[in-house]
Amino acid sequence: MRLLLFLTGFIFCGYSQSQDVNHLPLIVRASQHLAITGRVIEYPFISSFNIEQESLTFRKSSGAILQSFPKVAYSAYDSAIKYDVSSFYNSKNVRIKFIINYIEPSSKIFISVGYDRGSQAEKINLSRAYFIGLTRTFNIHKNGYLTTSSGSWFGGKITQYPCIDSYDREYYCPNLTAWIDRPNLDFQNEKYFQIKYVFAF
Amino acid sequence: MKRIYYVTIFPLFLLMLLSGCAGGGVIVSSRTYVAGTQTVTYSNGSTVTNTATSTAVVWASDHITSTTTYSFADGTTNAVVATVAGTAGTPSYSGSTQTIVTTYGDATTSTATNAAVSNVITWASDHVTRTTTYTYADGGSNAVVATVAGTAGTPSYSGSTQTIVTTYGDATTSTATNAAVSNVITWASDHVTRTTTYTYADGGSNAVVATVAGTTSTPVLTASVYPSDWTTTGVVTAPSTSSVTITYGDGTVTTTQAGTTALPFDQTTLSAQSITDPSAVVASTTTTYNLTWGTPDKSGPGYALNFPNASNTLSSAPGYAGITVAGQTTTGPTLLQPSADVLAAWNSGWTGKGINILLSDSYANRSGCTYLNGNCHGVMTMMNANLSAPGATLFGLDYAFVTNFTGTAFDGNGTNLTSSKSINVINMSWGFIYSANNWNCSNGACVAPTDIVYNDGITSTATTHVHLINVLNGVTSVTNLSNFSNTVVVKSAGNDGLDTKYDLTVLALSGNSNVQSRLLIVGALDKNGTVASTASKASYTNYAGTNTVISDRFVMANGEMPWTTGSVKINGSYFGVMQGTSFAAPLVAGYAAVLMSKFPNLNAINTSNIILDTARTDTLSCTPDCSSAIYGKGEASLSRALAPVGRLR
Repeated sequence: MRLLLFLTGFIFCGYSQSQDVNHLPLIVRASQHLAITGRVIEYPFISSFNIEQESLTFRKSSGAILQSFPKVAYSAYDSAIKYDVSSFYNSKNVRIKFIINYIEPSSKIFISVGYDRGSQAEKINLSRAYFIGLTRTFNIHKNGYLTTSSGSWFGGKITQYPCIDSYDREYYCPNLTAWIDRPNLDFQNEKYFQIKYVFAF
Repeated sequence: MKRIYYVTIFPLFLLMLLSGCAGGGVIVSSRTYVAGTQTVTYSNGSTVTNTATSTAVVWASDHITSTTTYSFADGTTNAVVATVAGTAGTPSYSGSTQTIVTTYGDATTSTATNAAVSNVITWASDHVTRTTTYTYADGGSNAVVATVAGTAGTPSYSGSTQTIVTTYGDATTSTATNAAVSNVITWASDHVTRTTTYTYADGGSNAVVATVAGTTSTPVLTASVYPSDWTTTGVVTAPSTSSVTITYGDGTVTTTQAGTTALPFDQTTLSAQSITDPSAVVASTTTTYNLTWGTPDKSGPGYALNFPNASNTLSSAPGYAGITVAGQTTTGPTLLQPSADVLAAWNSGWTGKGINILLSDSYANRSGCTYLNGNCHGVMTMMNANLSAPGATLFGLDYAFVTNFTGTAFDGNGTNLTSSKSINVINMSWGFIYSANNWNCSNGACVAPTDIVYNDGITSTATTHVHLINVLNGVTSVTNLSNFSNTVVVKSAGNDGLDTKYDLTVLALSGNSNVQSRLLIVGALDKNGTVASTASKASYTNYAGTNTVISDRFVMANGEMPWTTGSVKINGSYFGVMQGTSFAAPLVAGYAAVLMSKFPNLNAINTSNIILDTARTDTLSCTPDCSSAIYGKGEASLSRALAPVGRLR
């Protein structure tokens, strides 16, 4: 077996909301291995897999933290008034996420597809999302390899719901300010584009 | 043979000699002995005294019986038996035991060991030196001194302090309090559970577990560059805020909200950045950065003027109902800051934006109002409404409309309305009283109105009040004001020190079920109450009273105008300290506006009920026994009204 040592020349990330913490390093490494050894993995393989029932902390499809909610919310206007809001942020379902990869033999392009079931709690809903990505490594000169990888999650819409008091007033649950003053989550579909150069010796 | 003979002859000779042959033939008649002296009496009566030629002493086995045998020249002996007691030595002691060595005549000794027959224990003042005095049968005594250390009990702990109680032999105790010599702090994975393990000099340790909440940061403006002159066209570097973080005791910092310009700023933060624009909106040629929280109210007409600053001096003179309120020597008056309740709401952008408050008051001669004729009253109530809801839009209407319903409403600048406005809150800092039903004074003595006079008053004002209620119920309209059927009605309680039911307007309003359900009757306090500095009922205010329909809709608020003596000038007249329920009521009207602006689904009934439900008595000096017949529901609290009420779902 040939011993491979990688020396990263440079890494360039294009626009990137958040690189998938599991998938991206693995798929890049696999692509480089294929380019250097010529060995093709003949079967689909999984590069990211996660099962979790979220509570208080919710994550984006990539695994990055979307938002953490407090167990107890204190009124911004009278700290003596507090409510346990933890039950509002317990997901009712088990969230399943995975990315599976297949190598197209002729082009040696890694095709990645993924699925995120999403998470549904009483006051926040993350809808299901889908991932698609492509990765390929080019041999640009002797022992020099350039890997390009890109991918994007689609879907995963985030919806938050207000807490309502006995007078039917709507509050943003984490800090009990008026619902109309709630912060935007500023969420966009997560996507990345990466170019990575390695020198093998 | 020859030798044997000699032996035989010699004793015979000796015997003869001893027996008196030498005396020339005298015969011994008797011999007597006294100890070692022999007296020989002869037949001729003479006596000879002889001393023993030798003495031999023999002791019996009891060591005290001695036999002394004296031998005399004539061969006789005298045995004398005597009892010679032993000689006891000086006693020695060991603990409770006495030892005496007795020496006998035969030079032998015996040792007697005696136990004490009694003992007495005494303790020195140091509680550890014990003296045991043993007494023996022979009367002797022995004092034994011993050091008896105390017995340390099981240590108890409080925080970093170890306490050990030592019990001594004399039954006294001493308590030692020891500080820890070192400590080790560990944190649980939840970052808030801290365990401090204290170690003490005796090797003991104590683990103290405490819950230490994290500190939530206040987002601040962290990076922004502004033109030095707000009117200058130039590049504005986008501002940003620091994230909202929680810093825990173990050094962990979690971000609960990322920094963004959509997060809260307040004027203090902006001032720290040398920004003087009171509207807190930064404009450039390319974009406008809104530096305020969410959908802020801070662009309200009075907000910039009233926002508190270090000096409390407004930067310019504000105007209410078209009348300028100035300071005596500066362009703007010096105003006291509003309550902490109101400040907190302002800092979060809750100022009543989008809500219209109508101040029905005395404006008949507003352009020429002076202190003396009192027509500046409406200017002051409008000012107070603005003080609690600076983002709300204020309108004025002379209270005389209730008699002829022909008044003309105007805006906060005093400009008559030309289009219809919807009123969310109406404040009425006035009331009809029958001319003779007020305090009936004669020769300096005043008495409360009688029921007869009171009932006369009801009758005489009945028509007026029917008209008023028709207006409030939308039966009758006022030009350029939409109907008031969903308007919060705020009414001052009156300043006669009476049961509020004697205010005939209050009585009329509370007697109409439709108006009563959205009515707030406001009495006056001497200041803004806090838990630390409670407020008292103002001496002049009407109180909630015995009519429960009224007391159930009764709250209280500060009746003092927010200035000190002589600090403001209205229309050229100086105004000293002003107080009354007239000025408490618009504060509560402002509270209603703030509530309605942030909770658009609130109707007038719910808004007024929230203010009633969240009024507090712990800020009043009467607490904990505040009578509802005096204080109604208590002091209106904006902060409590803003917070959720009841179950959160």
